[in-house]
Amino acid sequence: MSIKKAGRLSTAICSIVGATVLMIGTSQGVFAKDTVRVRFAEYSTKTGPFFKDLAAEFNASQDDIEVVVEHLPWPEMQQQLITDISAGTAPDISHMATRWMAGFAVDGALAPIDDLMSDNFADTFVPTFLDLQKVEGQTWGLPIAASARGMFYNKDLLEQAGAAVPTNWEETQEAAAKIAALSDEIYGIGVQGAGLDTEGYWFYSLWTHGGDIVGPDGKSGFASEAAVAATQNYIDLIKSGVTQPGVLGANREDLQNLFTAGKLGIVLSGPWLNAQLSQEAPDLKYGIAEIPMATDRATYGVTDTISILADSEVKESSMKVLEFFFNDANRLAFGKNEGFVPVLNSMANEPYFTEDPNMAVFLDMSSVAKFAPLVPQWEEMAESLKTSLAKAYAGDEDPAVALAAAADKMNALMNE
Amino acid sequence: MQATQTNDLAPSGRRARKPRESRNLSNLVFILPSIALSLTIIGYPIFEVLRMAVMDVNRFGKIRGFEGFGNFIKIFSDPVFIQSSWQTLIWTVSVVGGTVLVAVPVAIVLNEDFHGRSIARTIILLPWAVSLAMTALVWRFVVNGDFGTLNLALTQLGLPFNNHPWLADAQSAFAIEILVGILVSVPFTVTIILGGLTSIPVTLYEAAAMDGATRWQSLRRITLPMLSPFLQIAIVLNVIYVFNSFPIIWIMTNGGPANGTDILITYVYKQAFAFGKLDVAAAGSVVMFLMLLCFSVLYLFMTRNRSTDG
Repeated sequence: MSIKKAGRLSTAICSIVGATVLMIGTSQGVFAKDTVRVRFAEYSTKTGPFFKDLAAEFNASQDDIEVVVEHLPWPEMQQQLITDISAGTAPDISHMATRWMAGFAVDGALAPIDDLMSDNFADTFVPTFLDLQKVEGQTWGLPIAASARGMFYNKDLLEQAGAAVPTNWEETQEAAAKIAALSDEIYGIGVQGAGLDTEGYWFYSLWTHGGDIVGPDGKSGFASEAAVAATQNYIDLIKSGVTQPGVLGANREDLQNLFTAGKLGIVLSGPWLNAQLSQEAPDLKYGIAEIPMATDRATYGVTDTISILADSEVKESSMKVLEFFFNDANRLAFGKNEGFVPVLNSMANEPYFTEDPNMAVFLDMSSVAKFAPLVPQWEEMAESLKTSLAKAYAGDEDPAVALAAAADKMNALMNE
Repeated sequence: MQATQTNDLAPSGRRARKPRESRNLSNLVFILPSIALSLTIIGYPIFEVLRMAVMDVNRFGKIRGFEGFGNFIKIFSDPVFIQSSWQTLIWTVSVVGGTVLVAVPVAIVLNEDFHGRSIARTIILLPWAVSLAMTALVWRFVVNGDFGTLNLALTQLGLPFNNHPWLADAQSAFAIEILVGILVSVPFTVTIILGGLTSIPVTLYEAAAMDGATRWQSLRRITLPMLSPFLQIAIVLNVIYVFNSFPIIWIMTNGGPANGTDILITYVYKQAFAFGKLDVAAAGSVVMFLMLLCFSVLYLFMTRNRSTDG
């Protein structure tokens, strides 16, 4: 055992030393190469290997640029990136959530890429998604992933309850009530009240009721009439007992686990749930439809961003690397790997996205997708909204009163 | 004491003074490197936090300008900070109080000689060996409404807790977190108190027994008074640990619902790493530091008075 281990260790050390010598040798050789460090966050176990393969292909294809790929789990990304930027050890290119990007851009950590992109490159993107990467008139990154959300429903439970697939919130209430009546162990619809993206679950209701996060007057729309109606919509579901018990304790994973276990009739979620369901509950019969409407068709769109950092000394080479990652073939392979909505115009007619019913609905809905605003203090606004929602869902405060507090907080933060 | 006894040959005038003085000086020289090291390692972060607390700092730690007391005004005008302060008080008092109440009887039992004592001692110490984050995660699963084993056990006992969502209500969530806090603080406290119990001379009990004292009387008149210095240490250290304890609350409820389980340390963490307000977080940390400092000084003062009285 121990000899084997020691053997392995020495092989590992040798290869590390060898690689380092090789790297130093190549970077200081006559043909000086630009080394571009790229950091990815992992959507799945496939993400890291996928980009490592692409990097190897790119490195073999030319002699000027050497791409080095690193990958980290999502939960570590934000803190690691902030620490690396403060310490001056950040990579040249980094993946991030679009919602962090605005703060990073305002604090001078990112490089604008408008002048780095080659002609026509920007035109290959679906305009909605690329526009989301713009703050103060400049583009700060590329949309590496985009997703829309839909309504997942358990076909068997709907059938047993004798309900049709709901298209608006009234029908949803009825269908959920019928499903909840089946058994004590079965719940009609999931409502999220805790954890990451609690506010996102509320946005489904807000936007389908015609509300908006930022109102037409440029101020918070958290306390608008539509917002109160949207909140009341969920409160009605909670009060009539058709949701899972303990809304305030349920985070996104809890709801997805209930749905996967076949205990939940309806849940609003994104394409990643397809992957969980195919792995953990391959026999569960489910369908995906559009988010129920009140007055408007809408869904929550989320993108992730890949940006060039301000401290990078190889910005032009970095852009070349990004353009390679974003060519049609590589993007299509990535989209199929991870199940995200197309960000390039060329992918929109690809049979993979249009013919698979579990993907098509997300593609259809991406045209009515709405997004969280790109403001540096967004995380704090979302947190105060979460607190207000918890008070309203619990019945501790009138929804109008609770939401007014979140709106005041948001307005104060916008003025900071 | 020992020094004066062994130093019989020295002139009686110098006997009490000189050795002690030179000894003090050489002691000082020997501990000087440690003091210097401690000052740099402990002092530098404290200095940095104090500096950030009065500056305007961006999310990468770059200083943008002088802020004065602005960051402190911000936290004191934030209702969530005030709410978290109260909850920190409840959290600390409940966990430390509960821990002491559980640990003293457990330590007294473990101090008795009985069959399987070493096994019992190991079991009591086990929670200490498991990482705090893992303990919190496991308890989150245990109290999960639908899949948790707690509800399963309660339901099988015929109690109406099927699907009861323990963490969905701030009060029950906080109560559960306090219980988990007590569970993980007990091993350390039992260890300290066990140490105290072994230091009580057996002769005291023998003499008391000879005078006809009952077990209850020797517990009240001998054990508890002799334990009090150890209890003091246990309380001070536990207050500091529990006040700053992060993983249990963060992992089980993230401070929710509606900030109902937020304590100061989770508040400060959110400010720093979720909202990117390192300056406000630093101001919060300074306030926490001052609270603990006040407690330590007050406690030192109280116990000192008592020992001079006694």
